[in-house]
Amino acid sequence: MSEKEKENVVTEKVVSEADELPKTIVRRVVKDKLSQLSMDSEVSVLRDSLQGFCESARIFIHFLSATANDVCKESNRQIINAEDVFKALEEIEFAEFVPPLRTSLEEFRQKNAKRKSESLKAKETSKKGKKKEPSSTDGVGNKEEDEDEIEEE
Amino acid sequence: MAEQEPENTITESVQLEIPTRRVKRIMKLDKDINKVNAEALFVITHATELFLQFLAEKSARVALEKKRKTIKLEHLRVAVKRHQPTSDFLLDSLPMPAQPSDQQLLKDRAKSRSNKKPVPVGTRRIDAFFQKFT
Repeated sequence: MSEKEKENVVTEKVVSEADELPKTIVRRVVKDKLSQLSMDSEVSVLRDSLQGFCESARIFIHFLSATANDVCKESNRQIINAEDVFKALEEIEFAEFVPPLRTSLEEFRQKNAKRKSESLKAKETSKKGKKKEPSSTDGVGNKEEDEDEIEEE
Repeated sequence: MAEQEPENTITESVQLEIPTRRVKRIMKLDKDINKVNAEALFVITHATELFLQFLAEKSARVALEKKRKTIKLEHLRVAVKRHQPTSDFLLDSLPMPAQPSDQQLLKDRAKSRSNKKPVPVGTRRIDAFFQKFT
């Protein structure tokens, strides 16, 4: 009986691999940071210690998202947005993360905006291709117009 | 706006190591959480990377203090302890430095469990740190 209980205790400590972050990626993030740090000697990570990093990251995700969720609900919304996350970061006293995150978010937005406009452009070009037969003057003229519109945006 | 903007630079700096799908999956284990938009998911994923880097740096310093070149779990614990905000949510949940025999037992269990459905272990963990707040 006691052995079975022991078994249960051990099981409860183990998390399914699919619900964790990939170990190889955690290792890469940690090792890249370690090599960036200008320290006198090179520091590495014990393989078993990686589990500690994985767990920490996993719990951080839960903690941050739960806090962001609270922020979101306080504003009577259903969907967590970026601002909720920034507020949550300040609440959990990781405000120092906010500036670099805002910068990368801006880049993310720009990248997506570019993607959207490019796919729109592709759609319009293909539409016009279907409607009319591509004559040299029209095709070139239309294309230039499209490009101008995107640039202005 | 020049057409010749180096798109590659933008793509590189936004590159995340951690897959957002996995982060979303982890978040969804919390039944309170409904939906999250793409931007929020991106920020959370990136924040997690920053957190890992933060822990790496702190742990490395602890290891060096103890004249070691390899970060052990104990160094991570000390690093967590020293940083109040991190300690508040993380310290109790960190895996304890296990004895060799225990580690083998854990590994065996992990192997046998990985084939089956995910055990509601995650739920317990969440409860554990939720209790901390209330």
